[in-house]
Amino acid sequence: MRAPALLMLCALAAFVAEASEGRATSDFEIAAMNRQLETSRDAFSRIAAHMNLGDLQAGRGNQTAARSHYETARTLAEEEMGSARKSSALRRYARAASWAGLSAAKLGRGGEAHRLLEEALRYDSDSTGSWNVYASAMTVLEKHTHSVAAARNAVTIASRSAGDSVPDALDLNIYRYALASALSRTETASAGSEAETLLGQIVLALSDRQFDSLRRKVARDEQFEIFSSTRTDSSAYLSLLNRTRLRLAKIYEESGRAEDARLQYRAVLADRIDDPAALAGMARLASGDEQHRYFAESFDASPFSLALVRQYESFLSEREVSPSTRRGNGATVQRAIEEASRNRHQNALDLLQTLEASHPDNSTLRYLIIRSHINSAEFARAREQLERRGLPAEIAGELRKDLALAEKAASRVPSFFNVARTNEPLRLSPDDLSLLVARIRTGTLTPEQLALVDTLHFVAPVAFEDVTSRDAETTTFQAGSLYDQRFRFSSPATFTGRFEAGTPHELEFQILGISETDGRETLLLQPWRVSS
Amino acid sequence: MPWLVRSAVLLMILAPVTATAGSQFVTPLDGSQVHGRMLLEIASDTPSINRVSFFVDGVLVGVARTAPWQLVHDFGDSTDQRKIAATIHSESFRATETIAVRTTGLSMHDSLNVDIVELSIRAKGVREGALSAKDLKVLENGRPQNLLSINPSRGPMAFIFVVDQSLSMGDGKLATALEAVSRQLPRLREADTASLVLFNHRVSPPRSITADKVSDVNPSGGTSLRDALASIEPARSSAVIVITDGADRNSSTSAEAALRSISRNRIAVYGIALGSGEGTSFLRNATASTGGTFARASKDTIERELSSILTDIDSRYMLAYQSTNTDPGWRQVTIAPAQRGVAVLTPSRRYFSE
Repeated sequence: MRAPALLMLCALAAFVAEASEGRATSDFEIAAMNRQLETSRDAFSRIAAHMNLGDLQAGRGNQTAARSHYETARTLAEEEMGSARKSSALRRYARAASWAGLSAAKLGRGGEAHRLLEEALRYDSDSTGSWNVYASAMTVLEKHTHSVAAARNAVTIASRSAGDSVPDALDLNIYRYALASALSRTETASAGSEAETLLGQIVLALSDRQFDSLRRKVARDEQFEIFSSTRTDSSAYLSLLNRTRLRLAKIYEESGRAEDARLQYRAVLADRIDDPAALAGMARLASGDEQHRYFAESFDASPFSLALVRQYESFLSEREVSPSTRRGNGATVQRAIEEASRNRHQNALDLLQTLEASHPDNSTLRYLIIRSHINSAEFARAREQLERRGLPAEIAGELRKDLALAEKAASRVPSFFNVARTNEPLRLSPDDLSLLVARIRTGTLTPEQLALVDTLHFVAPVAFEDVTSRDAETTTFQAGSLYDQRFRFSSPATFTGRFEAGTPHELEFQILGISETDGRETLLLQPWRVSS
Repeated sequence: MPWLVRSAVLLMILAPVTATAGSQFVTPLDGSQVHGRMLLEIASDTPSINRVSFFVDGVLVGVARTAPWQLVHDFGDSTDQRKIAATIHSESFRATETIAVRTTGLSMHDSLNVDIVELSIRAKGVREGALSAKDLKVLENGRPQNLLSINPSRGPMAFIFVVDQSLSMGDGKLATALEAVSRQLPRLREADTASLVLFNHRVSPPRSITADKVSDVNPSGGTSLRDALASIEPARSSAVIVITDGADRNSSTSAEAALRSISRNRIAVYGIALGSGEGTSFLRNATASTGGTFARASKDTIERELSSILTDIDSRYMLAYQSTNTDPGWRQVTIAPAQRGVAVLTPSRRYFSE
């Protein structure tokens, strides 16, 4: 069994977020780590298992469970430090201090992490492992320059001392990967280019015949699980290859080389059909039905990925989709986002709250629930949810900003609520229409305002859709658009005169409410008269 | 091969109206069916009604401002179940009341909980096609059953090929298995259907297959055979032919649950295990339990074994009886010859009844 090799995968969590029940991708890794905990008495195996479980739970939006694993890893590492000190095993002491430092970093305790990591280097400054863990911890603490420097030290030491053995070659590539990951976060052109070169070298190196025996072992044991802290050479090989390809794909994608990125994502999916990061990448790069299929597979693989949720919201802002009919957590989250995109926030909330009952601490669900409360003008409920602990700070900050903006917008009312009433129809402006629709949508009209809207006649320019029927003297329509808003009548309305579809006409109407046509929000109007 | 047939009837229920005290739907009524253009109407003794908004499945479809509180809505060609609601605004919009009815969809319902069991059996010693009810004795959980029919030829069947695509199916095993399936497809009859379920640590949804070679599949991942078998939902009499090379490592379904699932449906499972056959006890149990067969094969003999299975399926008698047992659970079926000179080659099997 090898010493735990750290692949600095934590930083991928931003776009590799994983899932819960219903055979989400990370279920398999969690099962493997639980088995490792059941069978292993070795302290470093147990620490690695808890660190992996923490990363996996964090990726699933389960912050409480993630923190609990990091705390356990921190405690185990501290106990190991004490035991090693007693037996004067200084290298073991240094390794344990490194892991204690990394777990402290993941718990957000920067000062403590620095102290422990420096302690590790004091006793074992020529250890590649210590520098590798140091680099990972600096990435977690967003000190990317420190991370690059530490990762470079690991590569330099490993290059100097590496022999021809498979484990040595594997370790060197692991440290190269850590350096490439750190470089790709510094956001300078030269660093990006160096990262890409390094990643290309790793992919090439891993395809060497030197690793045939590992590949055979992977095949024989049907290994497919990907870990951030690995304990066997075959597992390290598989995880390294998978993550190198993904990082390379991301670099290609960000620099507009879509076909190169696709090739890398496909290579990952050929080895593991349900890799959530690769599926999400393919969804970003695909179009049409293929894009929707990849989104569905991504949600099945990783139901509570916040990055995926945002990606899908953006996708829906440009495209209509038919409702998902699959079952499982991923499909339910996907349906909730679709409902929210159609402004059916109560339906979205119902779906999300059902899921929340079985995933009470999930930060992605809470994010979506708070967003639904904000969009349906239930500001007190949104605030109440925001005040509960456990939401990552950056998400909470973003939601607070959204809430403030929504409250400000909700305080505005259509101008016709403040003018004296006449018998003449009111000319409806786009701004007033949008304010009125928002209030109807969120159910925030007062009884007085409801009564007023129920009596008001408006005029505005409309364009009708296809003529339903016509004769010499009349034209019948049922739907059209009013500014950017689709509308329809309860049943086809026949107007005296000949009118054309698609050209502007003045329509006098009343607003009955918000309806739906083919899943899209549609205003329901009562027509009174039309003129050219 | 047993399969449970439940007689189906179309249910049309006209239930009494349920509504809040002073308001109720006049049309449609709770439990009735809606189709095409229909009147939606409520009656209400609520005073000072301002308006009534009508919703179909949560979508606003129209508003009535004066009595009678009604409007015409076009439900189109669909015969789905609908939730129809009316929101009554009154007292200058200060009071709101909602009433709703749920209509009945036009669909098939199970109405009779009697198991008609169908089995495919192999028998010999009689002239081909001449086996009759008097030649066999059928016991279910030890109780004699009356045969309804015995048919020398099978009806249309769904053939479901369940193929392991895990990483250990490399070295050409997966490609050879898929090629064998493609090459044997022309042997199926016109009314048969064929689908492919690929599994590794995940189970892919079934895909229809034709004689074209399936080529876009690489070996990868683990093995979850029990999950794959439990996922099968046949619509009719089905033969499930499994090709795998090893032990289940990743299923979340237990062996008992997977066995119940496949034995409950109208399925006979046939297994071809590649290589040493280690870790295939579940597959052996599944084939034995459902009256199928199990064989070991190498890469070179997959197609021959597949061909034998298809020959076996085509040469079976279809036997049917109405079970006299009513308790849910496992039912052991034993078929024995009632005449001299008759031999039953598949004398026992079991199925799970809910």
